[in-house]
Amino acid sequence: MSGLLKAWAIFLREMGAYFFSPIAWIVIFLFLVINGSMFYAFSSVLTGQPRQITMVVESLFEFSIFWILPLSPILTMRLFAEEKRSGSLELLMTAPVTEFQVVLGKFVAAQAFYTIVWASLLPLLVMLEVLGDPDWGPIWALYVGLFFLGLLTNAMGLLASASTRNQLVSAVLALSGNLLLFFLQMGQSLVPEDALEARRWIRFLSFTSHFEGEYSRGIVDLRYLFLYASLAVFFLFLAVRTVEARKWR
Amino acid sequence: MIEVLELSKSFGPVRALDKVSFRAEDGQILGFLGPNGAGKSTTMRILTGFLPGDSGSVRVGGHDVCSESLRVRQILGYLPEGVPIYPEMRVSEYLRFRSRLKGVSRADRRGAVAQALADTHIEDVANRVIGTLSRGYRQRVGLADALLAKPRVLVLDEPTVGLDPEQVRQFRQLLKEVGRDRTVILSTHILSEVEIVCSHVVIIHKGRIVARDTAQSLRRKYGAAERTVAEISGPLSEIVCALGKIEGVARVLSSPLSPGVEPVDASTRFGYHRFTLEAAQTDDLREAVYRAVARGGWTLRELRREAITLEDVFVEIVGGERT
Amino acid sequence: MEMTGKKTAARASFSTRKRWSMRLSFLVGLFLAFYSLFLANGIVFRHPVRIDLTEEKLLSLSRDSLERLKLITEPVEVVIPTLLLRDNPDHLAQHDVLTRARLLLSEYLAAQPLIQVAAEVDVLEHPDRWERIRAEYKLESSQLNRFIFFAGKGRERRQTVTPNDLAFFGSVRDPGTDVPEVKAFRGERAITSALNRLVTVDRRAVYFTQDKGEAQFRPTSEKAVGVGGIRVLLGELDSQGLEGRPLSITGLREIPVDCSVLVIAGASQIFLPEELRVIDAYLERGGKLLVALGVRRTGIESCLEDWGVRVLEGQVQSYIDTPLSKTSHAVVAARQFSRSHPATSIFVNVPRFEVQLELPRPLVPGGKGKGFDAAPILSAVSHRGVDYYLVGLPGSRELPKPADFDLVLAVSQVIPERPPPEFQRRDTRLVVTGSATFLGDQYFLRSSNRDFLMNCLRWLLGDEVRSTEGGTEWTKRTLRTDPSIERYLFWVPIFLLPGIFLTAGVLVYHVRRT
Repeated sequence: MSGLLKAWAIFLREMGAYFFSPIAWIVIFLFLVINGSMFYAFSSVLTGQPRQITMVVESLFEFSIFWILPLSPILTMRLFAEEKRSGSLELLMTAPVTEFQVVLGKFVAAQAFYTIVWASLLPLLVMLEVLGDPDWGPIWALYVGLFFLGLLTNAMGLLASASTRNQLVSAVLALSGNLLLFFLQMGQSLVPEDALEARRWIRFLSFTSHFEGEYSRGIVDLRYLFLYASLAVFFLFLAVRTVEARKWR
Repeated sequence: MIEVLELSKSFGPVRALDKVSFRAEDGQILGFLGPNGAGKSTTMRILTGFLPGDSGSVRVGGHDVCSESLRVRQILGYLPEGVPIYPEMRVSEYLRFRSRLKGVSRADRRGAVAQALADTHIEDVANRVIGTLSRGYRQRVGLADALLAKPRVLVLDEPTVGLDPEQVRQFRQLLKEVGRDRTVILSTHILSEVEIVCSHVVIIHKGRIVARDTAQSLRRKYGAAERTVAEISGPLSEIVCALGKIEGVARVLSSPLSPGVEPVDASTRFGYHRFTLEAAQTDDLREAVYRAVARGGWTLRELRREAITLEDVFVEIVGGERT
Repeated sequence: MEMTGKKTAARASFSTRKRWSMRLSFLVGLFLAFYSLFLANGIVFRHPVRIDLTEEKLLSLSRDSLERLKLITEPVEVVIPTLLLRDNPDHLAQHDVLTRARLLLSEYLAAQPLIQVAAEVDVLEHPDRWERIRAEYKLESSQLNRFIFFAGKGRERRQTVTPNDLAFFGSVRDPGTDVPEVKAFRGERAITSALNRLVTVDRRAVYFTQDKGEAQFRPTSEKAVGVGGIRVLLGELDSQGLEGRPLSITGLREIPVDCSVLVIAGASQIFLPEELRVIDAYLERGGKLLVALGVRRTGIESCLEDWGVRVLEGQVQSYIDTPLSKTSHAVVAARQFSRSHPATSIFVNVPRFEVQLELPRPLVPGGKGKGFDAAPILSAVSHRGVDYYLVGLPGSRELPKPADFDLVLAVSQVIPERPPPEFQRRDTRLVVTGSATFLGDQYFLRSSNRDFLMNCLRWLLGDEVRSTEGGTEWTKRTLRTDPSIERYLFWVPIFLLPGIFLTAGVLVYHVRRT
């Protein structure tokens, strides 16, 4: 219980760090300006007449899905690398907290901020609700998918941040991890078409195809959520070990 | 309270600590003296459980820093070198965050923060953002943090670096106050600080303990030693010879002042040299130097006495150990 | 400060051994974590659980489909050869439907792991592969843009689902350029029934009476009296897992026990009282009867009256009144159907529903009853341009007043809301149609004739709950177009919303600095 309280303290401090630094606001601002412009384009011109709401929603997320790539690296690069560089990690780790509590607090903060960034799109969707009658099923499914995928990418970013003292290196590491997952779908073309099992596995692992095939159609496959979450747990485990590593490296 | 036994630590090929052993009892203020790179900070980090040693054992308050790290950290307040605290937080926010982290209960939190603010006299900046504070204030915020959970052991790494003289004076006063009922380890490279504040002194050099003593006996040994510095223009070898002949001079060191930048004496066409004379006893050599210069007809433009610095003490001690 | 070496060794905080053991425990932990990650996901991979969040449950399988999937006990392979020529409007429409159906098929795969997609091949992109698949599965080169299901040893059983099974397409003005609009989607029904046909081994029997001038299994001549052959209908039954069998009612003591539905299609000779008794006895014991009336009275009418269907004299014909011509037709297009009756409610979403009956005899619910209710499920309703008249004989010049006529009635037991204890449930069901021509070979595939008849048969067989579930409409949700709204669409997402966040950021930053 007191352990959770300490993680909570870390969480509060990290949330403060996000909101008190201009970067967070700039990220949200850019996110909204770009997605808002695309939203306008989709809803007024690109989807043709009559303007189909399902297509507006689909196109909006199809476009904004690319934010997954840079978002988590930007949000997580600071978390450990900055503390290592400035030396405040020393102060943090000499307080009576465990590595797990620190990692948990920071991770939850990154996840919360990530969720806030995505939630900033909701007003646009509420506009659709006013102007028409969108099916909220696919929207919620997309959000569920984004949230769980965020668990994975944020955990990966946290691990990258914990393994270096340079924020840029951390961001690049996390980004390459994301890109790997992102382009996994392309790997399907490398596998012979008869290797069905391999193709099934690739499809299972590649989150882009989950967004195309399932979430944007309103389907949530619990397998994928489990996959993301279990990978996230694995990366968090590695992150805890990496922070600990100074003791036995 | 603190017990360090044969602690060794290497960073790659560099041996940072070599079988360091010392202990500090309850109520002691232990000065940990050494030049930069002597292994002070490494020792502090191992003491606080941030880094591991290679071999040896460290116990704080009866707990092993490796296997009972959390217990140790609960009774320990630490001020690291350079005070790396979050610049974007306000002072009071930061202290509240740290008190949460240190497990101060919700009910006591407000009181603990207020107490720490009062102890370190920083109530006036409680609502300022740390990034905008001066170095001295930051140092004191760090100290307030270290004091927060009323730790039984305080580990302070170079706490007076960057403070102005008045702040240093206040800080030492404060340290005496808080040191009454707890064990304090204080690392520094300034001898005077140790003299004023500490009851016990450990001197470390190149990873080895070279002296363990009380502050008083240390002062008796080295405090009065001094040297004389003179800047003279004239033929070098003659001057060295003449100075060497002065009674009581143990050693003469000469160093040329950079030619071109320093003006050449128009009358003699010689450049100035700085001569450092080390005395065997604590006699004032200035008169004798002046007379020697006058006798030689050289030009003298500076003559002063200098208190011996810690570096010199080390040269002394390390040299003495080797012979 | 005295310390012995022994003491030091006994309680060393740090040692090389300790460090190595920590490294080792990290590696072991890493391995275990990795292993359990693999294991857990390997298990989960095989057990898909999918949640459909769409409002209309577009991608949820109905309970019936799921139950039928449970009946599958052998591996089923699916081959999906696709060909998309961008300039072919049919291909574009088919592609749209197949994409949707493919999503739905994923739900089937998720619910029943025995079904596996064996090959999905783009014929244009991988012609060699298509050749190999064709050889392996013995397919024709024209069998494209469809789902082909295989089952059994040596894949001897197969079922095909084509885009026309999956959706209703609208008609187009110019077939060369216009893309047919997808009017409604009925993917679940098509796929479920295909799978059902694939795995059903024991087939239900549908008996057709054959010796009263009814529609013939093997027509003697093209111009046979009555409705002619019903080969198309029999083929359709066959593909639905039903077996059509001829039945001679002359001298018959009892309708066969394995009779699922008895069909009397277009009889033109008189039924003897014994024969009617046999039919009545069959109905009394819970039989299912489909009567498609011929043009003449055959005596079956009195039997129907016992069950609540009265057949009026004369025939209905239509009179089309356009500015250019006024003509009367023997063919009556019945479009009005019951939206609540299970036999026809499935057609609610179908854009153009029409059953073409030739000179049908009008029906009226009523008669003696027996606690049964006859519900009109298909009617011809006069409206502007088309009127319906009841005439004694075709070609009569004298026209009575135009009116509306019920042409098909469905009879089933009335079940009170609170059945008394002595209430007896009876499974007897009847469908009576005013004409039999629509199920003959010439007409069966026209308009909605086939859909209507097959659905009536399903209702008779008691499958109506199943067949009406699924087949969800893919509603189109559109955005209101309005110039005043247009402005908001521009300002709010691009300026107002980001502006709010930017202002908030500047405010926070300002407050924090001071």
